[in-house]
Amino acid sequence: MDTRNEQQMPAGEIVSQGRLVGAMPDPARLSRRRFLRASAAAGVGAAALVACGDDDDGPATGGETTTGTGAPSTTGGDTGPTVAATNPTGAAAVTTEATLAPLPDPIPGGRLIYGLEGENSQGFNPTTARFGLAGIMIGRAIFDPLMLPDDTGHNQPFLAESVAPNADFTEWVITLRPNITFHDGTPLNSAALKANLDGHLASFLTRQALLPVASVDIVDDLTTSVKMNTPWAVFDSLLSGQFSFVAAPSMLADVDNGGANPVGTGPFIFKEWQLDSHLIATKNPNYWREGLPYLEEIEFRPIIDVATRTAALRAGDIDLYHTNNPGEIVEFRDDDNFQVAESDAYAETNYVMLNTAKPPFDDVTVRQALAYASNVEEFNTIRNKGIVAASNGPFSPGQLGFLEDNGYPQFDLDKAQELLAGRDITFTLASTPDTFNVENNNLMKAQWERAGFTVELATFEQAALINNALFGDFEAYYFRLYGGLDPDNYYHFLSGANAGEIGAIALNFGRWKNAEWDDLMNRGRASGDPAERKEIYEAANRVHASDVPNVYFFYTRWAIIAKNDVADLVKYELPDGGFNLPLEIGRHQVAQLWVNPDA
Amino acid sequence: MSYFARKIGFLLIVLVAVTFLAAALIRLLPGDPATVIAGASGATEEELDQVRADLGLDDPLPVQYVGWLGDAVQLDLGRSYISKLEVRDTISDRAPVSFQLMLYAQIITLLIAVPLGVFTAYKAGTRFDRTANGITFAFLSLPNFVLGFLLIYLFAVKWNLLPASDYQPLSDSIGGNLKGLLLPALSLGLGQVAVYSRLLRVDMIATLQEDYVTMAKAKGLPIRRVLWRHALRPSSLGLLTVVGVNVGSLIGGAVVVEQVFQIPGVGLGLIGAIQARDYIVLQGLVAFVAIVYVLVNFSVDVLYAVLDPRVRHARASAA
Repeated sequence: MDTRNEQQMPAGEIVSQGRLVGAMPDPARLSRRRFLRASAAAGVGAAALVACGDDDDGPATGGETTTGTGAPSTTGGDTGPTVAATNPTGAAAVTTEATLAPLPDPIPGGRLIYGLEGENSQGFNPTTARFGLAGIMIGRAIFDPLMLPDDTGHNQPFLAESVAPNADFTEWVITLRPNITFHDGTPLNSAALKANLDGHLASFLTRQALLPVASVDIVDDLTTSVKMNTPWAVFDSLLSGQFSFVAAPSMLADVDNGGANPVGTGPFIFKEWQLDSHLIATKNPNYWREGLPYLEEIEFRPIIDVATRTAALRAGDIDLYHTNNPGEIVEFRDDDNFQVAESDAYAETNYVMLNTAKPPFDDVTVRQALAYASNVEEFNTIRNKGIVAASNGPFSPGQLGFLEDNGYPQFDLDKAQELLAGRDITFTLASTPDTFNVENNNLMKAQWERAGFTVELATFEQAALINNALFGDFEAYYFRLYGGLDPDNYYHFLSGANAGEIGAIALNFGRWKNAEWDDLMNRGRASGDPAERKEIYEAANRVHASDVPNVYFFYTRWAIIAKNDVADLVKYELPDGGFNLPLEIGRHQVAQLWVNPDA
Repeated sequence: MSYFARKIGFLLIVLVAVTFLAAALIRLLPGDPATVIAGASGATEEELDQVRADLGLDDPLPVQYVGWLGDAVQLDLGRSYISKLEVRDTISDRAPVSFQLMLYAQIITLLIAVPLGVFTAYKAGTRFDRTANGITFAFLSLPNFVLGFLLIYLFAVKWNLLPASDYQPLSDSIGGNLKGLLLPALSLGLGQVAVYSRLLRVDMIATLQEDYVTMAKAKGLPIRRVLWRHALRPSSLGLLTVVGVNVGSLIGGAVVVEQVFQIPGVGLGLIGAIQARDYIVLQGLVAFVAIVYVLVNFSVDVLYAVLDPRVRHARASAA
């Protein structure tokens, strides 16, 4: 097993940044009140995002989300992930009845229906489809990731036997585990891995996050070399998300139908998919992890409407689902009939993205005034039931570079008015037409107008919103982005090299350019020294905060809500020992789920 | 030109007009499939152009449209830009779902509205009439989605009698299919009870004043027989017309209801296609909806003639 992660991010450092959650309920104790709160307020965790937010490769524009802040807590133990139930606002600990006591031995068999927050309408080819959270969850059932984060937030080998860099991080060698076959009977080997990685390099959808990769070469049947065109010390931080899924070459070769008929090495074999309705997968009897999965069949069912999804769980139409809606989380927290696992570790940030390439936000004093005018505490109390934490930048709790106090402007109406100096600043704030977002926008408008801004509101469909962002045709957009195992994961979204002119396509939507930031992010990408990287990203965090390219509101809080008979929601043992990060941006494994008839 | 030939000609004109307008209108919206597919991931403008070229989106709209039409008449509706699924398969998957939903909604509506219309006509001006009027108009005033959530709360969450979101194909389970679609069908249909019942009531009141009805009563026929055998049929022509025309509003309502209950029908497909700027799927679904709408209205015209001989005779005289 590669130990590079320990070199890069020692456990002590992670501990100091916050902790995890996770919690294995004792069925006897929790039979009266089944309540699993895995609250990674600052925590561990990670998320191996391909590129950003909840979509591995694209931004989530607004959303019903929440957060928790950082508060240190406990660490993992032999029996499973540990509990660190913390108050999301970082104050006193909140209730938890979860214990480290293990459940009884899992009982094989049964079937569960998993409610998804959306549909993965582009299909399931990891190299050509955008995998949102729904895609990642289905991907983890049908494919296997090369790596998975452990409960300290470090990626550990999974489908790979080892992932190791050379001394200067210009080459990474991935060695696969032997004797693993795809569902179509073909072997998992380096040719298959190369087909996948080459597919990513050729894909405009996923390529951007792999820009430092120069070539992929087969060394032997199970060994693949990935050469970089520049030192990249954290390549492996991407290898537990969309990039990490290894699809069968036969699936990749079937351009028209492969995406709708996924073939992997995972615990479940694809059976059928009806768009907007369901995807069913059955137990893989030849799965390489002995004894897994426990379920005979799993069905994923997209239910987009929040109220319907909640009602579907209560009515027993589905057995569990994921959500980032504070209202839902609060509703189920104190309901004895359900269990809730929560985490905001490495979560996406909810913020207002400012177009810094044109007035009024090309003026840093206007941006600062807007930040000072934002009463985030009031916002989170009113809109997020008080269960999320205020955010102060793209660095989320648990992430390297995260700082409780990075110098980002705190609410100060007088200061905002002083910076405005009587200027008449008018701008338009827009989001998707989602009701939650529109309500958020109205509250922001009210807050900002108290300081003297004049704010117009607008809504755009997702497609139009993304289009406008790409071409710089906006002033202020309510967005959800960033997050991930490592700050390098969102390198390209804030890189000055990607800040095109207005009217030209640019992945740095806000067109924010800061030479100091770029220099720090480049140094962080190339450095393998954990102490140095910590220093670099904390400096980058302060640079970002002082220049206020965005106005920050809160970190997303993700939860899995399940009926009481769904066992081992987030407890998943890694093949080489240790446990998987319990909940990383709404993601968890499904092979370990089982139905507990005694619950 | 025969009646049928004219109708078919009309159908073709409507189809071309509707699909072309749909194709033109969606292209007026900001954003395009290329940016939806690749834009937010760092594709260059050249690559987006290539995506557009691959999808045939770089041709002028009329060229794209004629190409699509040429393939469509051969039943090749293309593949989704987004999911890569065949549009023909998408329609064959989704159409039965929406058809069942609308059929169940119509059946529920008629089962309630026809007896209600008959009896409120018979009891016109009474407290029963006024109460029925008030209740049905209350349902009419409720938007489909509000009614949907109300029914979900009561029947799924509070009483746990029916699922909130559990569509099952008829081929899998008849009982499951009926259970899964009952609340959506009620959401779609209850509002229409007021329209159907009040329309029938008005026509029935007029019919009940006809001489032949008076004659039937004078002969001592039971009132039930008078109402159901002698008055209902001639009073139902207006209702029949509205039932046909109402298919359009049912389709509109189904778009909302399918989203609330996550039913994988045509409505949900239309929303997804519009949001993703999936022109090819949208054109296919719109063409399908237009065909259904025109065919239903055509069928209503034919039924009209069957129900009322005067219509047949008038057409025969005109010919």
